Amino acid sequence: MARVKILTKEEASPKAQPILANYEKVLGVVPNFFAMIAQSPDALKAIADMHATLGKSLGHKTRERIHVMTAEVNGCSYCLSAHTYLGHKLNGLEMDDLELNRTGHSTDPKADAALQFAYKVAKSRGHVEDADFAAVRAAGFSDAEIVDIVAETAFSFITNLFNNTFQTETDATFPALHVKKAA
Amino acid sequence: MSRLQICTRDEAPAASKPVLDTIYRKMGIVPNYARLLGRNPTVLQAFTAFQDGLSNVLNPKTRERIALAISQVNACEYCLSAHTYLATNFAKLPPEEITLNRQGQSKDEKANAAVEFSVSVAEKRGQVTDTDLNAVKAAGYAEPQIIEIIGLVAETTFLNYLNKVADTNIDFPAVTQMPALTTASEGRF
Repeated sequence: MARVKILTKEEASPKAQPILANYEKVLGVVPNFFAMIAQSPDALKAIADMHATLGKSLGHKTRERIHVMTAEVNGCSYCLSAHTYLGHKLNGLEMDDLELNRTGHSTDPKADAALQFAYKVAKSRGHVEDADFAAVRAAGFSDAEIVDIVAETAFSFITNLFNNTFQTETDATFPALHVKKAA
Repeated sequence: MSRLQICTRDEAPAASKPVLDTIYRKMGIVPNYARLLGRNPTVLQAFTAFQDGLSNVLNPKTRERIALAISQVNACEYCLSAHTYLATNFAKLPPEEITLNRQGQSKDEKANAAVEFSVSVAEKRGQVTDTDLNAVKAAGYAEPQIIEIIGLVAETTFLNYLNKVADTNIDFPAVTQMPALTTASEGRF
């Protein structure tokens, strides 16, 4: 049982309803995460706006890889299940890549550098070393792209905070996975 | 020196300029954190939209209290300096309250519960206990407001990580660290 009421689309306020309807259109389901946040239409709009805007410059594959990584770091099985599904079904990531993502790596060499850097950010809460910078730059990432990697890591961290706090139930659409170890 | 390049307003990509100008109109300056994000117009727009969405939740004083508490948990000197300035000059919080907020507390009883809960969420990466949740509910926060408290934790966390990664040059009166500072870099969390 989630620790918070999960609204149906009909129960949501007029401000929240179109946002939920849009998720249903794109994903085929209103994920419990968004239905839960809908109790605060302001918070839902804030998250939906950030979600819709980020990822445009980073690319959706690495975006999903980062979400899988932070879910494991922060011990969030909900986010791990959702983003493994979205990464595989919607963005064509292979399952062996997604498995590596959980440990901060990728089968793609450039994405691997991004994931290693993002892993350090998530683990240390942004307290990264100069050597981490050197490594991500050596892989070809510009300053603007590093800002993107950190932003996506922070955004995925944010979704972990909500779903861990409320123990959101994994939607039936997302095959349930469990983090290896609680954070 | 910042570890990521911080552009001037004029050097920023065209898509970032209108956003930076709006921040200038609101704050009278374009702080370094905004120009750091401005390197990447997508990120600047995404964060600004997020911040705007949460700009009226709870109340201005408690928004600053939570920002101070979370910046302390994440040990981000840039954000501590910025929020001490904003808390003093905009939210009108007295110095002793700002100190309490950084310690994860507040003199105001109801706000204290919100600040304590926000610190639990950040420190435990969301893995709060039933006791944590019950305490914030008992103080009078309903579920939508608890969601908003976490939203504010999220907003501060986002900038803490970016500014910590970048080591953004502090362009507010710099606050000194408290002796009792618990820092993420010490590996406590």
